[in-house]
Amino acid sequence: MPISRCEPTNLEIAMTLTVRLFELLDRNRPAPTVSAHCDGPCGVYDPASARIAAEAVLSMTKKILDLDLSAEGAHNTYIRYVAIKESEAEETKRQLDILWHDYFKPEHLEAHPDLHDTFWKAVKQASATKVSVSLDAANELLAQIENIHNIFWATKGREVPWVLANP
Amino acid sequence: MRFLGFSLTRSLVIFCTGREVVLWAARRRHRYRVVGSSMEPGLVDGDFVLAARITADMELMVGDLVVARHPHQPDLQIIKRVSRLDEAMVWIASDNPDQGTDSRQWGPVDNSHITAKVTCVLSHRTPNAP
Repeated sequence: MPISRCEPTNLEIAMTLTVRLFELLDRNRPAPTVSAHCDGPCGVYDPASARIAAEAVLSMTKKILDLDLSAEGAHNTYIRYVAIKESEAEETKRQLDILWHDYFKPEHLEAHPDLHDTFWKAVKQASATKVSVSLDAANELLAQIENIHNIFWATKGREVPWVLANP
Repeated sequence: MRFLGFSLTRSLVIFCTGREVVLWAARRRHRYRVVGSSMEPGLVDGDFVLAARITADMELMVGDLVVARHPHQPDLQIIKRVSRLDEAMVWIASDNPDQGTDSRQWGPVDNSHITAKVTCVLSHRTPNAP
């Protein structure tokens, strides 16, 4: 017995035509996209972003402390170093915030009950590196991010080594 | 409950009628394209939706599909479903919770973050498609 093909209904035809019209329109006047995903279309999370920013905070802290302010042009250099330390500390806070709010889920909190406190303290530590020029503060920030790194990869069931770009 | 073969149990949004397209042509509806999978099966990547901009007299209901500004990334527009209403705050949820983040992580969002209410879906999937 031959298999009959169902003929499309008028509604189905209208829908298909309208979708085709919208797709044609999209070539010249793209519709704004609405993300039905996490932080963005890629959904890639990695504490490495926070680590890199925190390493930059430590690096700039060292450079500021090592700077000879009596040298010619030193004040210009000093201001630039401070500005970069400030922006990298802010970037660290932003990356931590993305992980905290957009990656971690309630089941992770069950496995790591101190998760909120861990992130709260790390973000506050990033702020501490802004208000001071302290190697201890910058190293403490890295230590706290290393802890978050270990928690993050534990949630994925993977062991990813903690590797600094500038050991 | 089914309408033209499409289940309305999970979604209060029906496939677009001619009226909605006419309203879009009259600029009373705005077109958006869906990216991602956190609202499957109701919305899939590449679907279009038409939405009405939120006005003061528009009432949101639990189950409404809404376009909102991401609470931590103001430039990112997201599409979620209203799961709870609480005075001036709205709880929004992903239909496919394993693939998305929402109020489970952020908590409720302020009413002002909700920018539009979806009135219909335009998809290659027809009402009678599985």
